[in-house]
Amino acid sequence: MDHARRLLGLMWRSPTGRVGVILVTLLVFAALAAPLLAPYSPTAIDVRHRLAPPELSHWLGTDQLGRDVFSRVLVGTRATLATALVAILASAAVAAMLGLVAGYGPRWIDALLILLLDSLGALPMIMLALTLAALLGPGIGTVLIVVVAYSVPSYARLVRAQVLGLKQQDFVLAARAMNVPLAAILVRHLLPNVMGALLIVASMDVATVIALDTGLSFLGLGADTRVPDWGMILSDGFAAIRATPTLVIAGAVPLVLATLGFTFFGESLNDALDPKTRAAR
Amino acid sequence: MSLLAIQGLSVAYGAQPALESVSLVVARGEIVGIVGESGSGKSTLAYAVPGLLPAAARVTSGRIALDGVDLLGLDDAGLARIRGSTVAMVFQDPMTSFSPLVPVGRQLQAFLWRERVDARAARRRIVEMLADVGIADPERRIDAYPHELSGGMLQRIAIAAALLARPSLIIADEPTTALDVTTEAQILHLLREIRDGHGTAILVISHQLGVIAEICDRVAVMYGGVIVEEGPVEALFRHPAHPYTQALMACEPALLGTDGRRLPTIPGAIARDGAGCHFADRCTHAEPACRAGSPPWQPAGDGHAFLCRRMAA
Repeated sequence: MDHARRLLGLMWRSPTGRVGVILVTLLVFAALAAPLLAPYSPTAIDVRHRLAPPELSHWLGTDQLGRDVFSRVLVGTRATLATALVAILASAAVAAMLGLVAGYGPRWIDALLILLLDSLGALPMIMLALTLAALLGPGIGTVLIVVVAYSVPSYARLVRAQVLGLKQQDFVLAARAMNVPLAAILVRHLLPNVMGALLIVASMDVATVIALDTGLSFLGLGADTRVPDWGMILSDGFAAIRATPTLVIAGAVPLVLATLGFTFFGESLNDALDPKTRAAR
Repeated sequence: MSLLAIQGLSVAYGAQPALESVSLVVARGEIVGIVGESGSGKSTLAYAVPGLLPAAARVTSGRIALDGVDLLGLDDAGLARIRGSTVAMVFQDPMTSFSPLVPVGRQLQAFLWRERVDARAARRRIVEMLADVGIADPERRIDAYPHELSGGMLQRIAIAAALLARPSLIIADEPTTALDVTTEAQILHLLREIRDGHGTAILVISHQLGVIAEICDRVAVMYGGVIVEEGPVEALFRHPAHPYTQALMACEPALLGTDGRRLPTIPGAIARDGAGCHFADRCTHAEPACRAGSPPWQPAGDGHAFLCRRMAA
């Protein structure tokens, strides 16, 4: 806990870090408190107030079915963030493992893993998503698997490239010269040194993953069509764009804020974790 | 019995030989220096002992016995057990010998994992060890990151790390090359103290004759993958017998009043292919016979010997 507070303090020092922390905190707060904050039920239909413009009773107006857009955006934050964060963390964990093994292990394992990862990365994402959805059925599990399959190849390559560079370093040789167990070399010496890059890429990817999640829910492959997420709001808004732009804007602005927030957050977290930049500040 | 006995060791990188039939003995508690220019094979020799040669290198013949154990006969697990117990290493650049993102104390702690020491005891042992190698305020330094410490301090800590294993042999690969001259003297002094205090044998690799003269008991001069001269430091430095050693000493500014003249160099490039003496092409005393056949070892008295056809002892 102390450690987390110190990190936050370090991130707070830079303006971008502050913006990132504020935006991410707001998003997480909105996600957690959505049911309490939302003025209406996100699924309550009111056909007499279809496509209402923003007004005092409906801050962001209503959609084609008269549902309150502000409530939908708030509640959608929860589904969107949860899916994106879990999927990114899962991808990063899998990629870190594979990348460490590929980078540090024997050549043939490296060649095999790279072949597998490149093959996976070469598959068209939509085809993969549709196939998986057909095999597994739509649902949160499918979304997670699609995101992991999409992110792991590039993440694992990143980790592997870092490890290939790091394992030539004297400190790895020194650890080997002192008979440090393999697991400890991987976890204690290599992992901390690759986390920075992975963290940045992953936090910037939160936005990409939200977009992917959005695409999947647009195709009806999302987690649960009764629970709104930003993707659904966007696709609803897209259908109604000739009538009013407010729906698309209401779905897109949180997406942009989340992108900015998580990118800044990731960058300042990386700076805060790096003892060298920490000292420079 | 000697601690380390290398016999007829040959190592090649692909088809390119790096060491050719090198033999060297290190007694318990002895400081032996290996001196030579870049590419002479001195580092290959150092890394061959703990089995840390790069993947491209292959030991083609010879024997390395450490404490009576045949190292080349061991499998990877066996070699790993030797490292960090009987033999420990100190590397050239202390700035890169530590992971930049982990406090030094935690890195030293990783070296104790094999011994199943609990964290508190490990920390106490590390603090004591840091104090032993002359780190002021070890309680605080143990939590420092590498970039917060000077090169000299880091090299002291690297030496402390090597000592944690209580090894009987420390291999120091250019331990002071990355340091400034005053720090160099301190580190050399420290290595000597460690030998005197713990009876640890030390194999020092260096290209600087000054470093070798400062701390070693015995010295081996390497050229083109072979040892060309070997003997007690006193005798070898007073009466260098091999033409290469003589030329090397002539190049050392500290040993020579240069009077504003250009520093002498050894003309030609290092080469080792073909039969005969590897130094023949650059040697001022060379004659056709030197290129024809392998030079013989000649004794120069008192454990001092050199590999040359021409020079008289």
